[in-house]
Amino acid sequence: MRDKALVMFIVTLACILFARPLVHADEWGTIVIPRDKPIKIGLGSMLTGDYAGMGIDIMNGAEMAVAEKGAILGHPVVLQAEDDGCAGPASVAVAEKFCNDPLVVGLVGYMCSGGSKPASDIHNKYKLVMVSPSSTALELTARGIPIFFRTCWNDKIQAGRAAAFALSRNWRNVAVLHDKSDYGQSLSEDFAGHIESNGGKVVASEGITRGDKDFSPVLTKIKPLRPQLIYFGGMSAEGVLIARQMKRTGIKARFMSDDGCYTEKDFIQAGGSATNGSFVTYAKEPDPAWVERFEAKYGPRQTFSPQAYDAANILMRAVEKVAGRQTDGSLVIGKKPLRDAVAATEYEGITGKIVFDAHGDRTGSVVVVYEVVEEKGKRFFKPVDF
Amino acid sequence: MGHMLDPVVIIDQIINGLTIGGVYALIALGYTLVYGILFMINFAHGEVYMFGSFGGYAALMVFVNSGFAQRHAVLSVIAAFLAAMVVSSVLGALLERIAYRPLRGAPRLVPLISAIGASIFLQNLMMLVIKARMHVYPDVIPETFIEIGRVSISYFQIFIILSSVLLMFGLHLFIQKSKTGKAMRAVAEDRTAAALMGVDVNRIILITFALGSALAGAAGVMVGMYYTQINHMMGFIPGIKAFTAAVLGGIGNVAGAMLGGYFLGIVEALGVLVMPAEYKDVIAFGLLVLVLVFRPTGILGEVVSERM
Repeated sequence: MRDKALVMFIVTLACILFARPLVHADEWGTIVIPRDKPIKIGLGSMLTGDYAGMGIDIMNGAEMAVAEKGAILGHPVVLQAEDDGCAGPASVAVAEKFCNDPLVVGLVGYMCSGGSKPASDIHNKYKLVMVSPSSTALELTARGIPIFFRTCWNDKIQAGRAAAFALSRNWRNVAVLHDKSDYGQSLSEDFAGHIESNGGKVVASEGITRGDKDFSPVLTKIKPLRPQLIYFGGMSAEGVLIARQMKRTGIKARFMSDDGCYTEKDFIQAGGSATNGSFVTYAKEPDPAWVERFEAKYGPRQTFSPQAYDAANILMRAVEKVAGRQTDGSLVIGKKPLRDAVAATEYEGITGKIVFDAHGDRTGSVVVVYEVVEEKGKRFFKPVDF
Repeated sequence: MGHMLDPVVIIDQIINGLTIGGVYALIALGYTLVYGILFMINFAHGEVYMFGSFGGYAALMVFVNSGFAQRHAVLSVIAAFLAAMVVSSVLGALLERIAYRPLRGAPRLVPLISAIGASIFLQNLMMLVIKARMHVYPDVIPETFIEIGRVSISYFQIFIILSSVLLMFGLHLFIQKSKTGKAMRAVAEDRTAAALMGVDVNRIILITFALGSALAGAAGVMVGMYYTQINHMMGFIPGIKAFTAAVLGGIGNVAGAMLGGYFLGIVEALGVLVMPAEYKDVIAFGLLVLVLVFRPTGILGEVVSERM
């Protein structure tokens, strides 16, 4: 019996090792855009709910790029935006919808890492390329998924930068909070890891629930531990309440958070003076001329509209490069060449030069620390040198 | 862990618990009043609270934009409370008239389903009105604190605790002393007998809904001013927690709803000290399960079956 099992095992192993499919250029299939039909760029972000401010900003950024482009090889380009609620189940449904739409060539999104992670599996199944402007969780580019790219940074860079800043200020006793999401939790764990490996001490590490409004119990619990800094991995709706309720609880520590809180409307304005002196991490400011054009059209920009603008442009440039025009006026776009064209991007975007590494991460990402300051009656994010 | 048992921390947590507990209690009263009279759970009650919060928000924004709030902060807050209570009591009365009264003779599941339908409808209605964005209450009165020893307490917290107690005391007086209150108790005890004695049952039920809803509207403004963020889904979790509080205290029992609200708030706040904060909601719903299993009538519960 043992011998039989062994033979079976070897046979199975041999099957796995040798039965790999041969790789062809058109193995991923093609997208055909018929004559008189538009080319669709998909967009998945949160358009309703607590983080809709950030999601709509992303949509506006992508929409601006698409509107400026207008048409590719005689076919109009349109943006199709879907609300993925910043969460797994809805993102998967949206991904299925986009992947089965014959006119969608690629996608800007998804907004949240918790949505991008399961959705990228669907996209990988159908080989539809996606460029996220805002999903920063480290593992997204570490899972060997070839169709995922991002124009933002990853959380390893972001958490490392935040921790380096905290250490430069000699804040060695820190408390970390997170919102239990793929994004917030991994970010806060990374941050805590950096602090501890540099001789600092993490005095508390707690999770909170997205959508909750009362964080005073957890802050009261943290208060006697006397942290010098509270780091929060999560989004602005909860972040701003933590900053406010820290003051109420009488915690003297500084508040620091991530790009999820880099929004003027939902963090600085919603927080009132309680957010003064808070720190957040985000990219370098985008091209000011672009910001002026954007704000004339959509009002104050929030967070990821520049990254979404660049992401949409990268997709459209790749389509332009690989689309073949047929005699009947239709366009044929190979999914593999399209993905390869995105991977080979070398583009001077409004957020700086964009080149992807082998995993889909942007090379040379720079994360900047901003402080909320009040100067001459105006409250804004000011870059901090350290 | 030594820090956790510091009396100052425990006092702070009890204050936190009393604050949110007052809100739970005010909402729970609406559940319990309606249950006391109709033996039905008004699951749209969380939405009544949400509408009240938006009513107060709309009033405050009008005052802020016209500059009135900057001159008369206290007056505007009082007006916001009144606006919220009017909005939610009108909504509560409408709910009764449209969603529940036509089903009064139906089996008990039917009005429950109608309530859930009304809840979903109201959430979506508000979502369309506010374009699904989070709204932020303006800071009309700057928050200040008083220090008693090492305990610091915010005026907002004192205000919420005091005004919820006052509102509940007012409700108690109303039910016990006024003629309408007497009629409410009569209808709760025996609807048919009350009708035979000349009580206008429909009117009393309408008033009960309006009363419970007004308290929820007041709670909505308190939450708006204290926690600042409101949205169309804000009624859901507090609604369920207040329902838990009502069951905890003994549903149908007014004093029980108050007790249950404060109890739940304090247990949540203290529970965070002994377990990770992410389990805060688990505490509330764990309690609900325990009460339903071991003491379905709640802490102060009346034995409902005897009354029916």
